[in-house]
Amino acid sequence: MKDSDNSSLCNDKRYESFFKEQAKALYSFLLVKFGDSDLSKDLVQEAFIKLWENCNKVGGSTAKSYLYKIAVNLGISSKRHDQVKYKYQNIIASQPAHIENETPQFLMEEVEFKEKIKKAISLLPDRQREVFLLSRIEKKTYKEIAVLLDISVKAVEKLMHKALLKIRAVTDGVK
Amino acid sequence: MGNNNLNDVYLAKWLSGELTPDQLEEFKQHPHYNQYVKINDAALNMSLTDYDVDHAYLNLKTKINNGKHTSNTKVISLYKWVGAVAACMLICVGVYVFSFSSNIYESNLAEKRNVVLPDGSTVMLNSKAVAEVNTFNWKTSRLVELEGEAFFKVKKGNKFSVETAVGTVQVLGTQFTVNTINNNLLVVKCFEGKVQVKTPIKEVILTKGMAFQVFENTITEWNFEQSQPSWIATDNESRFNSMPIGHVLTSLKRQFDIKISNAENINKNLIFSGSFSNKNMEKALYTVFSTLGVKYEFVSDKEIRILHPIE
Repeated sequence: MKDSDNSSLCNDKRYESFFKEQAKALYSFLLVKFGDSDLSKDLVQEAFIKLWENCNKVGGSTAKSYLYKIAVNLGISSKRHDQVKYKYQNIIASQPAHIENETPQFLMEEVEFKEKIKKAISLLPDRQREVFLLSRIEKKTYKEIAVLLDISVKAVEKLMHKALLKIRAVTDGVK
Repeated sequence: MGNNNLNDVYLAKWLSGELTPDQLEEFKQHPHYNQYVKINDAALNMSLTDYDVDHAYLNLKTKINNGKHTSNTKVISLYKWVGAVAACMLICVGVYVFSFSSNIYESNLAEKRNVVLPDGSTVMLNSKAVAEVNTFNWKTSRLVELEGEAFFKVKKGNKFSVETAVGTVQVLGTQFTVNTINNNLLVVKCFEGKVQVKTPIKEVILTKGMAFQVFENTITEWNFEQSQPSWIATDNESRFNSMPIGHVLTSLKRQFDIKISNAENINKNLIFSGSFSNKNMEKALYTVFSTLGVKYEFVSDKEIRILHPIE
């Protein structure tokens, strides 16, 4: 736990590279969890400020879990969290698929279908949505997700399974 | 169900590519298999909204260096600041607009309109009149800009002024009418109290029952005995005293909303004294024109044509 000079985050360079390593993943995780882009950016900043203040106590190995814990706790206690209506339709950006050789009608249906999926995702229970987004959009393995959410891999698989069932049922449209 | 090989998490296993070949074969027979493929493809194509790491780091650095990172620091995002600034500006603009605002009251043709001013004084506008009331500073200077004719009942208080194109009428607390026609004639009648009239050529003080008229440097003064303007008291008469014919025509037009064509056939120097009915247009026209010997004919309900004296 003791800070050796080259692993201490009190070192500017070390701190910066740690930020650049972790910030984006932390942001995505918070975005998935809280569904609010501004809040997530603020939380990342807050967590890293706390880390800087405590850089003597928090060693390189524990820094990451420390960050996540702080950010999530701050997010949960934040008043804004209560008021956030999950606006997943807004936080998910979709890249256009391969455009070559597609008819306009196909492209339009494609867009509509994506909108449907986004809607379906926003309707999922919190845990299922977190797992689904982390896995499909953030491309994390079930094991990584299990660590992040502090649950078992089996639980992650069950949540994933349910999430997909539900999304299919919702996007099936009329029937 | 035929899902012998498929357990309760087979969808998760499929997504992570962990199904055995057997299970995969069976899953492909699933009626919804194609839909699942489509959903997965679409989801893999999505991404979360962007995060600019370098920018975020700069912000963080600034924050830390500024020492503004006490434990309770609230991070206020830019849009809140923009919102606050916008709100302040809105308030400023609102105050500005409110304090320099003036209300404009306008009566239409053949309409009378009663306006109550902020201090309880009233203005009765005769037809086709415009009064602009300066509500800014009303308490210290009561000012009304007037075009057309109006009857004022002024509550006691600070100086009350009526500005017209021809001159200014000032009072302290009284009842009077002010009438301007064609922006070159002014008639003031005082029904109660005292009224001061200031024009470039003369200043007079009118008391009860005195009337004053300016028209192109000609001043006429006379006395009357009404206690209220005739157009208010009976609502059926307009009364004139030595009024140039052009102004009588303007009054007729205001009152009845009519057009008068070939008006150049009338001798401009004619003077009209008398009154006409405000209710009956034909009677009014007859009263005015027959006494002056002017011949006219109806072109339509709302238009008359003045005939040449020789016709």
